[in-house]
Amino acid sequence: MPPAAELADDALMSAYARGDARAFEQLYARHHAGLYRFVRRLLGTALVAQTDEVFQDTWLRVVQSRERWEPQGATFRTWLYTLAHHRVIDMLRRSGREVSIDARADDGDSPWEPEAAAWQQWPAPSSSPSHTEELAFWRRAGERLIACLEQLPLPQRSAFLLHHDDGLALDEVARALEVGFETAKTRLRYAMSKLRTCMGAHLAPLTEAGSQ
Amino acid sequence: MTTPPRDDEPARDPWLSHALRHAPDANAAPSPELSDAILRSARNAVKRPAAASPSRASPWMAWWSWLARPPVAAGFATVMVAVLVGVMWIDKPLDEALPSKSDVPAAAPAREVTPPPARAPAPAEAPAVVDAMQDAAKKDAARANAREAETRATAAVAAPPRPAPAAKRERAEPKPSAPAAQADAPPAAPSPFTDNATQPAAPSAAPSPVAAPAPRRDDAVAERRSAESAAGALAKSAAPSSTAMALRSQGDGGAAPPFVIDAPARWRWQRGGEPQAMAPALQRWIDLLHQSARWRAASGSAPGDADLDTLTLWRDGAPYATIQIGQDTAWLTLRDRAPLAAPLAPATAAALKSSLRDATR
Repeated sequence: MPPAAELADDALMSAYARGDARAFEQLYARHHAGLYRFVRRLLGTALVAQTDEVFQDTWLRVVQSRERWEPQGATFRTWLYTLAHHRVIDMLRRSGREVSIDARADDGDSPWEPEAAAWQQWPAPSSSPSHTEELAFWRRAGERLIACLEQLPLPQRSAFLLHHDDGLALDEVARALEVGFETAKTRLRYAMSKLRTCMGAHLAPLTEAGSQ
Repeated sequence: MTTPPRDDEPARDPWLSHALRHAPDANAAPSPELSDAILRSARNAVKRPAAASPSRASPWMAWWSWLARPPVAAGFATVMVAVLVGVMWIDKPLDEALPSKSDVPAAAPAREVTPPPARAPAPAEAPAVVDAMQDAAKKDAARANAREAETRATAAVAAPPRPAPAAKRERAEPKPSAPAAQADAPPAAPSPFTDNATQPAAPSAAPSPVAAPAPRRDDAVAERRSAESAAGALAKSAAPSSTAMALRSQGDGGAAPPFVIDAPARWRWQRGGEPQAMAPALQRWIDLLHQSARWRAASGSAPGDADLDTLTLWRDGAPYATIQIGQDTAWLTLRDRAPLAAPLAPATAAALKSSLRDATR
């Protein structure tokens, strides 16, 4: 039998369902950071204080559902993010916010495509920014992106985060959000389009940023 | 761990992804206390079943959790309701549970009837005639067949076998032993006009129910019969079979009939006009009369009442028997015999009168 570190998520969850607490620890170690970010960014700055509660509630749901969990179609990670998404929606509703889960509720007739010129002046994304200026630029970009994310409706925000931050493939995103593939694809395209617009409109290119 | 993207999947935007990685919350993580609490809960959840492992508690908990599932719980509740309803209905008279009873309007109180002095219980009180009951009686006709069979089964347990009355031939029931009093009596049988006419309660040659104790019936059965007899009397014109059944159950004639129509060709009947040939309908009416009435020696002759329905039967060209039906009594006067009388319930008498009119129409 392979060591727990090499086991897939589904095998670990099955082991935990059989009573292996260390399997759960392994699962938690793998996913706690990504899930925490996902929850925090979905909730937004207004409800950031509720992140711990939603995060804990999600994991407790995993614990409580261990005997009913069956790896049918969705992977453990997809299921985990589905649970978290549901908890976030519950929290947003409890806080009195309108939560639109309709894919077309906030969609326009066609996605707006940003001007290519705005992007051409940005530094190329690389894993390790070579200059301090570049690093500063990307930090500002990150801050701006978080602000732009909050302007997105929840369905588009969750699709973008699952796809770009957590690395889920689009069909996994669709499964996690319990929508069809095309719906998830549309949400993602709208999210990306709006984020580019938001970022291009408010984030100065590197040359200007460097001069400021 | 990432699934390879599909061909039609939008590519990740490298700038946006890069910006996400440099977002201020990129390194956000749950506090160690929160992580400890979650991990502790996870460990406790899997420890608890192992710690609490009394050998008996586990099957009970498993059974309880199985029962708590919604589909199982719903099925269990259904079974419990069915059992409850069954327990509530058990030992209750069938009529109380039947919805048809509500169809019958309130019946007028019936008159008291002097119970016959003999061994059998008095005919049950019958409700008064109500026109609306005719429909209910028709509905009950089919049910009455089944009840009749049940009643006879009860009687068979309580009493030794007895000859089936002639009227039962109409029901097309297989009767392995032919009764002595059948209309088409075998040649070896004695004269149909037996001397028993003067002593109707005396045992005849055939195994007689006179010697047997009258079968006991509880009040509920008596009430049911009373209702059936009244309803049958009312429905007689539309459903003669129910009338026959009702009258049969009313009389439950235990004694041998004082006379029978052995050869219809030798008999004629008369009601006011000229004697007429014996008709099958009238034969059936006579059978019903014998089933309904328990003949006894009459203390006197029939009163000269205008309400009396009189039927004279001729045999071989001479008057042989005179039957008179009053409001609560029937009289039978046979040639050269003392008059006989039989008390009748008012509803039974009315039904006999009505069916006599139909049979001699």
